Amino acid sequence: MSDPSRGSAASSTRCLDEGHCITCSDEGVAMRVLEVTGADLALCSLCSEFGSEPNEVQTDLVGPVEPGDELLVHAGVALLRLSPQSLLEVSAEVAG
Amino acid sequence: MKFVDEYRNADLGRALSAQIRAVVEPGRHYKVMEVCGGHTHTIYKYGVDDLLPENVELVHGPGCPVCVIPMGRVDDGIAVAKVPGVIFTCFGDMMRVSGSMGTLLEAKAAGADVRMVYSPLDALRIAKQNPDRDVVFFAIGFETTAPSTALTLMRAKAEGVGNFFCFCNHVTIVPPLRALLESPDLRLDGFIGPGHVSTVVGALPFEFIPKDYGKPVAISGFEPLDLLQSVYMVLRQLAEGRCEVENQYARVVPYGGNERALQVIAEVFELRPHFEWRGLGFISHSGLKLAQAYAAFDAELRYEVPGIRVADPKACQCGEVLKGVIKPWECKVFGTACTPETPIGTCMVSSEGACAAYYNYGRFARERVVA
Repeated sequence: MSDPSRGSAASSTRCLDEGHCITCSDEGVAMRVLEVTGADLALCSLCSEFGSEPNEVQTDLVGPVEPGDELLVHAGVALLRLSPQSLLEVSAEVAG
Repeated sequence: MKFVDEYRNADLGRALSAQIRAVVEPGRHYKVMEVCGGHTHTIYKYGVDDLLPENVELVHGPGCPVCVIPMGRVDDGIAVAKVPGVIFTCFGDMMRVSGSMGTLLEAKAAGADVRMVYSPLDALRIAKQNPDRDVVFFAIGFETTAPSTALTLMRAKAEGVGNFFCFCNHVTIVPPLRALLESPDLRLDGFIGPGHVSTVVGALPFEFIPKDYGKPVAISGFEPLDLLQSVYMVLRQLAEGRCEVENQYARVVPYGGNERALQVIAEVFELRPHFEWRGLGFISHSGLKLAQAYAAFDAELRYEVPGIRVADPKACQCGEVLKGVIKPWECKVFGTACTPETPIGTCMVSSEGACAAYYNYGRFARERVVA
C-alpha cells in the first residue's frame, strides 16, 4: 500500500508528487510555520518535504500562529490547525 | 512520515478490505461515487479499487475544478489575457486547459503576459509590484479555494490596490451533486464526500443526500486507508439499512465547517443565477461572482468577455466521464489522441482528473486485479 520509492519522505501532497502546482485542485497540504511575517501572514514550508521552498500563507482563518505550528493550507490560505493529538487518536482508531 | 505512513499501512488495508467483503451482499452491484478528484487520484495511485470486491464499483465524480470548467470560460479568460497591458495570472493546470481557440499557454507563446501563480496572494503581490499594469487573477475552485480568493480581495480592498482584478469561476459543491442525483442515467448507492471542501463547509450541507435522496455519505480523507474506511462506512450503512452523513475525516473536518471561512465567502461573493459546468450543463446557483461591494475588482465588469457557450469537441467524452456514466478508457480518444502531454479534454489535464489518473497509473482497460 505504501509507496516504497518515496521512503520516509512520503508525502500526502499529491499535487507536488506530480511536480506541479500545489493549488491545482481542491486538496490542501500540511505546512509548518517558519516565521510570522505580518498581520495574518506567515512564511511556511511543507511538512512533508524537508527544505522545501517557503511560501507566504494567509493565516486569517486560524488566528495567531507561532513558528512550529502545523496548518492545513489550501491556495495560500491556512484553513485549519493540524493537531498531532487528533491525528494520533485517529491513527489509533484505524489501527484498532 | 509521522501521521501519513499510518494511513498507508498494507496490513490495515487488507483488514479493511476483509471488513468490506463481509458487509457486501453477493449478487448485488454497488456503485459508490467519490466526489473529489483528489480521491480519484489516491484510488488509482495506491490501487485501492483492487482491494474491493468485484461487485463494488467506484464512480468518479465532478470534484476536480479544472475538469468542470467549460470551454467558453477558458475563451473568456484568454480574451482578457490578450488585452494589451494585462498581466493574467492563474494556477498551473489552468494554463493547459483548451478553449475553442487554444490554451492560455498558447496565448502566452503568442505574446500575452500569462503567469502561473500558486495562490491569489501571489497575484496580488504581482499587482503591487506593477502598479501601472492591470493584473487579473483567474479564480477557480470549490469552497476550499474560495476563501483564499475572498481574503485576497479583502486584502486588496483594505490596501487600496486599484489594479487587481478577479475573473471569478468559483463553484459550489452541493448544486452539482443535486444535479447528479436528479440525473436519470446514473444510479448510485452512496457517496464518498469531499474531504477538504468539507473543512470549509462542514458535513452539514451534505445532509440533503440521505434526507432527500436516501443515499449514505461518508466524508473521507485522502490517504488509502481513509478511502477504504469510507467505502466500508458507506457499505455498512447500506447493510444495516441506515442512511446518514458519517465523517471519516473528523481529524480535519468539523461538522459545522469553518465559520470564518464561510463568512468571508459570504462577504465577497454572491451566487450567480446559473453557471455552466462541463458535462453537466447549466446548474442553478452553482457559481459565485463578486458581490456588489467588490465590483471594482470584477474583471468581467472591467473587460469585454465574449461570454459565448462553446460545445465540447465531438471526440471528447469528458461530460460522460464527469457524470460517471462511462469510464475514461471507454472514451474514443483516451490514451491515443488525448494524453496528459496533449490533452483534448479537461479530465486529462489535471492530475486529479479521472482520465489523467487512469492514464498515469496504467488503467487502460476493463480488467482489474481483484484481491
